[in-house]
Order: sequence, then structure tokens, then C-alpha cells
Amino acid sequence: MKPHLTSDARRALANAGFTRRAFLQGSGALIVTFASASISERFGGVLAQGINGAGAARLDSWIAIGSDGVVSAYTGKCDFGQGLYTAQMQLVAEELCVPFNRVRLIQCDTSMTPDQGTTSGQQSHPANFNTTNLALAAATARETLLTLAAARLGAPLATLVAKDGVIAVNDSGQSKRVLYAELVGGRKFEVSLDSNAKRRHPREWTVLGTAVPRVDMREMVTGRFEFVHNVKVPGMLHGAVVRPPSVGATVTSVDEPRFAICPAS
Amino acid sequence: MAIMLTVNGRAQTIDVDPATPLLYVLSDDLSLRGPKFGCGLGQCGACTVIANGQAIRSCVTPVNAVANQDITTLEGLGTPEQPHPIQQAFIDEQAAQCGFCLNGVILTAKAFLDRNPRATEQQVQQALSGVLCRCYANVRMLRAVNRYAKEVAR
Repeated sequence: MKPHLTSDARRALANAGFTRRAFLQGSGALIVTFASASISERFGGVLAQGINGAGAARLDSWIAIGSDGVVSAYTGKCDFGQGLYTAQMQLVAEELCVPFNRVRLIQCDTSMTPDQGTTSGQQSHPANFNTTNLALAAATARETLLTLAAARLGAPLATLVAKDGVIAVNDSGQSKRVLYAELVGGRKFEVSLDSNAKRRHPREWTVLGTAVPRVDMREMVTGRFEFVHNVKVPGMLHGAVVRPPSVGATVTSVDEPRFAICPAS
Repeated sequence: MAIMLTVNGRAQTIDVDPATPLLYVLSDDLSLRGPKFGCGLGQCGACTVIANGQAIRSCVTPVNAVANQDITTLEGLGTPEQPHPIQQAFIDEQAAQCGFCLNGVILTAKAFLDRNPRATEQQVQQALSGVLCRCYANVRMLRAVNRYAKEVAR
């Protein structure tokens, strides 16, 4: 079954040059996923919405590095004006030591991204920017690549430096180096979030903490940006938010014949 | 009833109830994303379009009131690849948070400066006083409009 994606997500995938399915089945990638045993531990209450939505076989990957060196990150924390889309791209670029423009971020499409519950109350930074979730996934991916590079280059881990998607032996004058793309190659690595993976120290930051222009601004000022009320999914006639008459109320039934008169657009 | 409009330079014939708000025609029939439904009462400005050079509120304008007129929406000014100078000024100043009100701010400022190219900063501020931004990005927006106003005046 083809997952129903928002056009936002479809565009992000097209920009990244592959579909998620192709990614998971494709030739080479390094994918960081939840350790399945710890899902409930990590998410507690927000699991109410279900970790497995419609369509996709797995919805728990955070980061995937393709054999072309492009980094795709999946987030359940959504930008609605606070600049989080751009900031999360900065986070991934920083922790993975790749240029900002090599990061593709797919946000908040429940058929593709981890379900992180609601985005509200200033909780996205604590959720994704400290030592869990997206930050931890990126740090895990970097450490995995460093370990692979140590074996490939025959050098101790402590002598390796990652920068711009390249891992080099420090003081080798770049003579001993390997690209992320070469490390991933045609193989497929699936690693679990490593709670011991270390975030880069703020002293080392080159992307976080700098003023990166919002990636969505151009579309916003030209009236192309897809706000929630612009989202159209296949087969949709009309969409509207229906608020319950009381707190905690749930839908018991829908009078479908009443809506059958809606003209298809 | 068939109503003729020119929207962003393209002639359109729409078959709707003549009392339909212009905003609904632009959003639902023409799939435009620039004009937004904000308050639905003509109070916030998110639905602004330029009709025959005048900034109007499309949520309270029946479509037949602008029949045969030239309508410009935010997407009619420029494209992401080639933004209009006023849109570029907003990019340069990073003048938005959620961006929902941008449509009204940019089009109101554009229509005003088209007619008053030598307006002072105070007059610009006055002209924009009826366009509401609840993110408090107003200061950056005024900076962007004044940046563009200076280019226009040159």
C-alpha cells in the first residue's frame, strides 16, 4: 500500500532523491532506529497515538545516511513558526558533521516519521535537542561512522576527526581519509539509538548557534508554503477541525451519508 | 452564475453563487495559497488581495463585487525563484514567524507604497496598523517594508 503523504513530505523525499520504501529496501544506507524494547520507556504517555501509523512497514527511524552521503532525518516535532524545521536541520548537520545543505528533514508525517506526540509548550527543544531522540540519533550515527572509519583506516578512534562528511586521521594532512558515502557504500547498516552516544560540545559547534536563514521563508513570502489548511490527501473532499463539546470527548460515530453530498473537488 | 475575474494576469470564469466570498473562490476553486482565512470578519487582514490597485479583504468581499477586475494575490507578485523586491526584503529581514499574516502585510504595504512611494516610516506604520500579526514579528516586518520603501523611493 502506498502511504498517503502530504505534499510537503513528498517534496522532501523528491528533493532527497528517493522514496522511503526505496530507502529501506535500497542499495546502501545507515539507518538509526529505536531499540524496540525501549520505545515505551522513551515516549511514555505520547504512545497513545500509536507508534505504527498507516502504511509504512517501519516508522521508527530517525536518521538515514544514503550511499550518496545525503543525510535524511525524520522528526515528529513540527515547525509552525518557531523556526524548528531549520533548527532541527542545524542540529542534524552539527551532530553529523555535514554541511547544512546536505541534510533533508521530513517532519510530522505520521506515515513516515516517529510519532512524538504533540508539538507544544516549548517541549521540542528538550525532546529533540538534548541527549535523546533526534540529537541522540545523529550522535549515534556519527559515532557509528567513526567506528567504521577506524576499522577502514586502521587508526585508533581517538585520532579521527569528522568534518564535512569526511573522516580523517588527525595530523595525517588528510592523506588518510574516508567519505561517509564510502563507509556506507552499497551496504545496509541498521543501528539502534545508543544512549551513550556523546553530543558534540558547544565549543566545537559550527552550525548550531549560528544564524541560518529559515529554509521555509521563500515559500512563505511568495504564497507557496503549505499550511495545515492547504493539506490535501488523496480522495479528500473537505477537511475541517472539529472540536469536541467537552474535554476528553472521543468520536463515537460519523454520519457518513450526510457527507456523501459533498462535491468532489 | 458565471463570473469573470482576472487573477494574477489570467482570465478565469467561475461558476458560483455570486455572494460567495472571494476568498473561498481563490482558495477552493483556484487553489491559491496566498490569501488566508484568518478571522473571516475582515478584521485581521490575512485574506488581503489587491483588486484594481486597492488592498481589499477577500473574506468579506462577495465575488460578484470584483467581477471583471484585476486581482493580484501574494503568488502573483513573484515566485520562490524570482521573488518581487518587497518579498525579497522580507526574506532579507527574515521577517516572519509562522507567516500566516505575511500575505496581508506584504500586499497592504505594496498597494500603499504603489500609491504613496514617498511615504514616511510613520505613514507606513499607520498603513499597516490594521494588519494583525499575533507572533509579534511586526518589528521585523516594518523593517522589511521600510527597506523596500527606500528602494522604491530611489
